[in-house]
Amino acid sequence: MRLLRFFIVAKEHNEFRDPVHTFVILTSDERKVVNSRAFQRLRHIHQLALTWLVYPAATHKRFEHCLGVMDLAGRVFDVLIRAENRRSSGRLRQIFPSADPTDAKHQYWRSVVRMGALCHDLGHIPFSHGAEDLLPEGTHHENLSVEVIRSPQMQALWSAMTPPLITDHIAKIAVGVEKWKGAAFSPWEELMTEIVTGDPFGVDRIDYLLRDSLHAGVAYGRFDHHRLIDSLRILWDDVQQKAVVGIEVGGLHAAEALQLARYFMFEQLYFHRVRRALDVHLRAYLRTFLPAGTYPNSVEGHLRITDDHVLAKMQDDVADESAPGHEAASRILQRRFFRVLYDRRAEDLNQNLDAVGLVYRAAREKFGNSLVARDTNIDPEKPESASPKPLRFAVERDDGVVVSSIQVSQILGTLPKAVFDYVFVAPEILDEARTWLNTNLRTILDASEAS
Amino acid sequence: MSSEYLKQAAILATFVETVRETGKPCGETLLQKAAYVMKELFGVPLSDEFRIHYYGPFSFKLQDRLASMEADDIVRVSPRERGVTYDVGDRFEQLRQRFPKTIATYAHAIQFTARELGSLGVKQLEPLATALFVTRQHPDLSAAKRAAKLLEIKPHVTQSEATAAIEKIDSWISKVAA
Repeated sequence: MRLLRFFIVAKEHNEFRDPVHTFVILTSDERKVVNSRAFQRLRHIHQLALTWLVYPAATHKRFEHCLGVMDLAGRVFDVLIRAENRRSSGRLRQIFPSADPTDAKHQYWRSVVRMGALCHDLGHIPFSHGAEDLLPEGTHHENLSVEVIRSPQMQALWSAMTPPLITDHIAKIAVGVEKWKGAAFSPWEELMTEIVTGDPFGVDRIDYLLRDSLHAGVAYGRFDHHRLIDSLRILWDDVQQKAVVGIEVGGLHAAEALQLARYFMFEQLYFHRVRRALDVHLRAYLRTFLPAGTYPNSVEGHLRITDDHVLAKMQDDVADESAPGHEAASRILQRRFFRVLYDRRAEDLNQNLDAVGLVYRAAREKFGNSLVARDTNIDPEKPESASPKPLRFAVERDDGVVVSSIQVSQILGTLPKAVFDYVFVAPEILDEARTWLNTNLRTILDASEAS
Repeated sequence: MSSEYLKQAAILATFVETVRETGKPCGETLLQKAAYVMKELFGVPLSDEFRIHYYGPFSFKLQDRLASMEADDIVRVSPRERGVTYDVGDRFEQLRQRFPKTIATYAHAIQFTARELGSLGVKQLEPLATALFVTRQHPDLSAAKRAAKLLEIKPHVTQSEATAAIEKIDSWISKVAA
């Protein structure tokens, strides 16, 4: 028994079996974080909200995604730091904290990057992005992630590590520059955040595409991530005047495959019309579930709410016609969700760029606000709108010159943007609404205000 | 999509067209700094929030807005020698016809900004836009103190570049006030 205890205490590496990465290996320090209350909560947060009501096997959780992101972050860090992969030209020489990859500073930052990756979703509210706009105005789940990482319980873990990790270093890697307003990032810190949250090659994206495609049974999300990661380099981008994570040209096809996978996954899965309709109802339901209709902004309040709590209450509310959440709960669980009445059409947009908005407003006037809804990813005013941001990145050609991906890839230059803009109506009025729209569409589109 | 989005898109696309008519490229950095200058110097109603990023005032929301404009074919992006340039897309004409008053109201701001910034590179845009940011943050400080603040934010900028940028911004503010 004493011998067994010795092995349990002394074990420095732990592993999880994982369907995407086979094994995810953790250090003892990382295992302590995984065992924390904040991280264990992620076992009860679905990665893809209510998508399992459309793709039945998409029941995976944030827990395993975060483990996968940590694993990939460590791999990318090792590739970027490897001596033969480093570029020593000009200003890049100043970027690396040390010339020696085994240097303590590198080891420290490797731990920080893996820890930031592990903790990047600690602030996710129930059903992940599905109900993000119930957070107080101007905040994202990333703000909550920072609060959790800075909480006394987690700070005790960071300070007990070997070496101790600085809390805000972890928070910066977890959240990234875009979502943490007011924080000052050094060039090195900004570069390290790219490993996890970077737009073109962030490991968050690499893992969720691979994992979501596997669980949903949608093969479009697969690509050669091993080749991609091996070709990542820290490059000097002359246009942006900063060091960035780019690729050497040999990895271009793998990078193109990632961008194609992203496009197809958005079109097939993330922007699936039923999935988006369910999100509309989920938001309506959570407004009745949450006190005052908004999400708690305290760490304790946040840690207490999971998908399980919401789903249990949702089941109760379906049976209770007097419950405030009855209507939305029934729409979701009894499959009476809204159907698409109208979507973007090129010929209508050529006539009027506000075509979807006009149809939406006219439908609400005709059928009433409670039977009509709209959801889109191209409204810059809307938080978490999954904007179709351009994914351009730096590519190092064989001659060492760094250029934009758009110059060397014909595929990326012509890849359409994944966009959706749906007008939904309740199924009980769908036939009537379709007839009405067919009769009135031209008149509706002609009515545009000018100024 | 609101008419507010379309009006802002009309203003930004008119700026792109104005720069491109001079034969100069219009990259994303120029668009970011120009939007900031138009908003802060002339009060052009762009709803994007700017904060100091690695290379000056920058708005992630504007980045999203430009992506939406690209998806709507109000602007287009094409490669150039280094990086990319924006051009107007086919559907810009629709906005020009629909919002002539909006475009006319801000024509001076657009032309001024295109003339003053259109030929500048990133290294010149950065101190200039940051100087405006510092001046808006600390309107009561002397030029020397604002130059010092600029250097705190952008330590790679030289003292003479910081001083020149603050002087330039002060002269623009005086011109606009007059």
